[in-house]
Amino acid sequence: MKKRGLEMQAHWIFILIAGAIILAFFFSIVAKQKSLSEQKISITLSANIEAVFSGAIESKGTAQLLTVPKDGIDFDCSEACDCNFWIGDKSTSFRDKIIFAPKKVIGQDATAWSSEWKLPFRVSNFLYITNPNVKYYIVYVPNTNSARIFDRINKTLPPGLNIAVLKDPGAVPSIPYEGFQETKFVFLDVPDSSINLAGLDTAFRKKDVSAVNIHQNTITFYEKEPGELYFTSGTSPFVGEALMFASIFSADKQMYDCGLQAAFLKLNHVAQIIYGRAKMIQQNLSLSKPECVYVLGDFNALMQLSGEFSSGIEFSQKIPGITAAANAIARENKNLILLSCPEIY
Amino acid sequence: MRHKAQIKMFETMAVLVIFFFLLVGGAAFYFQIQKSSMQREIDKQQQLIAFQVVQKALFLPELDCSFVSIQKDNCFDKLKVKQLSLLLNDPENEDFFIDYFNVFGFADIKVTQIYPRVNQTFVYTLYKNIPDDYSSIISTQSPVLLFDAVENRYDFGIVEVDVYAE
Repeated sequence: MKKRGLEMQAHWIFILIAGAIILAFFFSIVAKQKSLSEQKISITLSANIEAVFSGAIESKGTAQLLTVPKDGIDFDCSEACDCNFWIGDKSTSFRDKIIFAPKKVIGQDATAWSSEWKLPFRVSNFLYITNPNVKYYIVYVPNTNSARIFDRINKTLPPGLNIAVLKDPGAVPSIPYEGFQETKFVFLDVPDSSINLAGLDTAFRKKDVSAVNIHQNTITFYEKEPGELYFTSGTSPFVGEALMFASIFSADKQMYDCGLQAAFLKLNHVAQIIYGRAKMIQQNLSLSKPECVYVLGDFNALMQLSGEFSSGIEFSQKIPGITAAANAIARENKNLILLSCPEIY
Repeated sequence: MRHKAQIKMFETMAVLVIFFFLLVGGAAFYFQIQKSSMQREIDKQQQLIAFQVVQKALFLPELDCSFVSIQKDNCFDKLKVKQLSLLLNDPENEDFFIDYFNVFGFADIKVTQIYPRVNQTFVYTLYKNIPDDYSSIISTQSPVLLFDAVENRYDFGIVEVDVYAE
């Protein structure tokens, strides 16, 4: 009888062990399947979003709504300008796309807006991404250059953004925190001395707040230290309206600088191609249309200056040279049109 | 009595063996289906990538035809095509080629004039970077206008883009 009892016990132990092994097997399969399926969804979403970005960047001047995945999209550029967007754990490189976006786009549909950067020929399209969770305060001073910049911005910005306009930089400290995920102050050529971000409402202390001040050839970025109402500032060069918008929609100075670096590299390439094309036209038309003279000295300046790009403040001293060369090329192109000659670009 | 218990034990083991046999068979079937669904997904992604490369090629600012700063869609400037091709195929200008790898990756992009047919055919390989080992090629052909700035004339051409998947 005792022996039979032992046999029964061994039988049940055997069944328990076998059952546990079977359950463990199933649990491991389910866990693996879950992680695989999550990875698959992230990969598919990333590829689809990348395709949407590629399409959006080509449709210049248009704004479109993008459906954002539940967990949102993160955007980040490293110090080495390795720029990626993240969906879950999956990162996808910007590659050749020049994108300016907040650190995280989540919650509501995003607005993707593209604009072309011309100098004076089209160099590249930029893609700006934002959503209504970001509040923009545009601050300008009436009857100054600041107001002129505001008019340009006001005419161009797409609808659907959360924008408030302030005509007095002194009113910034009295703004209450309205519960937005991110708040960005856009100062338009306001004297740096009249910007008082440290005096902001204490409710902003633990929130995501940043600011830019757009000057003639430079942009000053103000970035908040986490948990403090203390801002560090850095200055970057800019040329052209598209880069002005880039500073407004960039998560930080790093993202702006990386976009700027990619843009100047592209400028150098496009300038080389247009310069070579103009030389070919000149050679072909020297006999049949001698009145068509292509003065291309400014291309050398443009190619040289764009090749020397650096994101530091010292490069902003070269911006007037780039602008002058671009204007001279545009004038030369206009003259050639008046003479019924093929255009430079 | 002992003999009976042994038979019972063997019975249980036989049930377990059959159970695991069915489980392995089911799992193999399931993973096979998963594999083919994954392959379909990979093919879809490759087609998306190929589509993006074609789109980039068609909208390159380096090649566009613009008149008084207004661009013409689906139009390449012949001289710009020639110049970009020269720069990309210049062995001394390797950096230029590397920069465009970021744009096109592993692809072969060719522009050919198809009408009017002339003695000296306009065929330019814009970009060519074929990997040593690839699993598939996705080829597309898109019609474009080819603008001849010297003659102030439009011709018809085709952009052939082959995208290589590793």
